[in-house]
Amino acid sequence: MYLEFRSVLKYFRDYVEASGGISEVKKGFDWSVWYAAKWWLEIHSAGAVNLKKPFVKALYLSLLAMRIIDEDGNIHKEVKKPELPKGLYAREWVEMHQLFDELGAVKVARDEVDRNSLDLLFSDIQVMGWHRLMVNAFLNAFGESDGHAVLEPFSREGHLAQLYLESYKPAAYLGYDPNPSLVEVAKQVVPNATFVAAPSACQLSGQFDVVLLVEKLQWMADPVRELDCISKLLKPGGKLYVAQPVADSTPGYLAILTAMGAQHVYTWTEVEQLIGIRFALEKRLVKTIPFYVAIFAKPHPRPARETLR
Amino acid sequence: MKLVKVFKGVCPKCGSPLTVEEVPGVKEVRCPRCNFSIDPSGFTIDVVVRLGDCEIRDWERFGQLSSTNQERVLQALESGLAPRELYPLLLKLKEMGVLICT
Repeated sequence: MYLEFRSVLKYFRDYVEASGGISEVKKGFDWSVWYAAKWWLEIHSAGAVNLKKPFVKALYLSLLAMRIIDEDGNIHKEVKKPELPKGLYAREWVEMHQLFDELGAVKVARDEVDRNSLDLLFSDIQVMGWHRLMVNAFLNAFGESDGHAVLEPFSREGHLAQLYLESYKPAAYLGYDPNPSLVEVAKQVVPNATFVAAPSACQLSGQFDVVLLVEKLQWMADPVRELDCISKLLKPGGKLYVAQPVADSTPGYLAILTAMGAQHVYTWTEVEQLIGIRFALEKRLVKTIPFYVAIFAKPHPRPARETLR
Repeated sequence: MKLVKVFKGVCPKCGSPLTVEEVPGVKEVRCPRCNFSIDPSGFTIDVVVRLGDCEIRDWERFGQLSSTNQERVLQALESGLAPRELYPLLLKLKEMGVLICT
C-alpha cells in the first residue's frame, strides 16, 4: 500500500511512535486492505452487491482505486494476509477490523446487522487509543491555537470537542447534531462547550473563526448546501480544518465508518472539489493515507469595483 | 451512573494536592487535610463518571468491545470511577442491558 511517508512522519509522529514505528503502521494499513478485500469477496459471492448502499460503495470504490477489483467487481489482484503488527495501537487498529468482521459483512450489506452492535462499535472506536492519537495529530497538524470561536458540525457524542478542549482554550465552542440524544450526551460529557440539536448549519446563527470537519463530510446528506450554510457562519479568512477518510485511504476503516450510517463516500479529489466550491484551499497536508487532510479558508469579499466614469 | 465535577489543585494553606468532588448546591471546597476553605474558581475542573453499584450482565455483548476498552470498563467498575470519555460507551452498554447499575 502506498504511504505518504514524509507527510505521515511529519504530522503523525506521535501516532507512528505509539504504533511501534512506520513499518507497524504500514502493517496495520495493509490489514485494512486485506479485510476490505475479504468483505468484498463475501458480499460478491453472496450476491449482496448493491452500490446504492454506502458501505458497499465504499468497498467498491476503494478496492477499484487500488486495482484490487475490476469495474465489474471481480477480484483482479489477490491480497495476501499481512503479518500482524506488534505495536499496541497498530494491533488495536487491526482488532477494530476484526470486531467489525465478526458482525458479518454480508449482514451489514443487507442491513441485517443489529443496529445496537454498530452503535456500540462506533462508541468503542471513538475512545480507542489510535483514534484519539490520530485526532490529536490532526489538530496539531492544523496548527490550531487558543482564542478561536469554533464550530463543530455533527458533534455526535462530543469526543472531538473533549479532545479539542483538552488542548486549546477557545473563545466559544458550538457543536450541532441532528440527533437530540447525542446532543444530550455531548452536553454532559463536555459541559464547557455548547451543543444544540439542529439538522443543519442552516438553522444556526453566529460568527466563527474555525470549523472542525474531522470525519464529518460522510454524515452530510446534502454536502453543498451544508457547506454553503457553514460558509455563512464562518468569518472571512476563517479556517475550515478537514480530515476525511476517503476511498483512496484505508479501505477497511472507510467501510466501517460508512456502515455506521454515512450518507456518501468520496475520493480525495471529490472532497477537494466539493469544499473548493465555497472555500479556498490553503494547504493540503496529506492526500490520502491515513486520511485526506487539508486547511481551507473562507475567501475575503472582493473589494467593490470602482465605478467607471 | 452519573457525571460529576472534580476540582483539582493545590491547597493554598497546607500545599497538599487536592482532588475534591463537587457537591451540588455547595459552593465552597474544603481541603481534606487542613480543612481550609478554598475558592474553587482557580482550580482545574475535571468531569468524571461515578459508576455506583454496576455490574456486567451480558458478557457476550461485552465481548464485542475492543480488548483495551473492555479492560478500561472493568477497571472503572472496580474503582467506581471512569474517565468522562467513556461515558457515551458506558451509557450505551447500560441502554443495551450489558451493564446493570443499581
